[in-house]
Amino acid sequence: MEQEESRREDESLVARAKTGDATAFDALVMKHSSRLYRLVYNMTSNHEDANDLMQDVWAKAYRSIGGFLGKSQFYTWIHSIAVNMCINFLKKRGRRYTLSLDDVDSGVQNDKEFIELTAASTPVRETDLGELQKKITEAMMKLTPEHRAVVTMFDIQGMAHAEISKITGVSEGTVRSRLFYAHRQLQAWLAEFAPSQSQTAQ
Amino acid sequence: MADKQLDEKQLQALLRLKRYEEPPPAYFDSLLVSIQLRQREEILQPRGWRRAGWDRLKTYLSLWKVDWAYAGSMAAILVIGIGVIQIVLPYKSIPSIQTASTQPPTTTVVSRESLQPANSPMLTLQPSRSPMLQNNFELAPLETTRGSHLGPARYVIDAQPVSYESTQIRF
Repeated sequence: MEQEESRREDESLVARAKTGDATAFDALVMKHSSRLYRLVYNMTSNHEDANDLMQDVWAKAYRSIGGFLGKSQFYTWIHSIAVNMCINFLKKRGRRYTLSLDDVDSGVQNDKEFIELTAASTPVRETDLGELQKKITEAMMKLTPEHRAVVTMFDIQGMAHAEISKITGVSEGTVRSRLFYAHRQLQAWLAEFAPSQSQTAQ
Repeated sequence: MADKQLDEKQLQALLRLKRYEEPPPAYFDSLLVSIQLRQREEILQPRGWRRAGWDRLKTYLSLWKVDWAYAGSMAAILVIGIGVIQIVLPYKSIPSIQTASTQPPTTTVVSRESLQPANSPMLTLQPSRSPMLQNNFELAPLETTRGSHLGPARYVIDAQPVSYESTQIRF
């Protein structure tokens, strides 16, 4: 119900933006930037690069909104622009990058699943939150941009397979396959945080 | 060294940490201002409309989500198919036309009396030069080609060939 309302609001804002209403476009920016930033930031792992890319994405959206036919949701459209621009950026950037990470919000200490893992795994419990954040990010940066995009959208943003499929332009089967492969790699690279056998038995 | 790997659920729980990374406060307000400034700059640029047109075209094309590997393989199959057709077909039809047009016609005048029966459906007379092509609509003499591909003349009775043997007489 909420999604339907949000979709209708987007349609109205897009229609107004197409007629040259700048405030409608600003409303779209404010509405979608939070989720879009999370995608771009997790793809680049650098706040400054993410900021530049966010400006590029919205500039491109502003120039192209006249060609947006409304066949997909605005949310899907803007995310697919962002994914494509991130992948192109990462291919140009290559392996040379520096991490510039945002702070972890204190809300993580109330996250039920994360608390359960912390309780079960001594390495997670004993590792500083900043260090843990760095190690997870480094493992993610070893993935290819295509695999990282899927992991970001599924595991971090909580999107459904079908939604990711629409954004990336590949089949749901390919999305699942990329996720499976990426998870296997991450499991190997982050094995140091696995609970020991005795901890699992408890 | 860990004695086992994270399972799927544990990995997802670990990745949840990334959900709580937040940009500096008021970041999105400053982002909006940056975007507005950039829009103004682009409008003031004289070539801004070209860039906008190019972006619109690229965005429109990206909606089709073409699988270039599939499109390329289909194009290759099409080209190979056309190539095969061009190789196979000319041997069946075109060479006879080329032979007729390039070789000087060797003609033999055959009298009407030698044709038995005169209006046999199997007796095909192929004039090497069509009167239509020569713009000569007068009654042309009956001619037939004696090209090597046709072989010696064969006689027919009641529309059935009586012999395919050579006409050379041997004793």
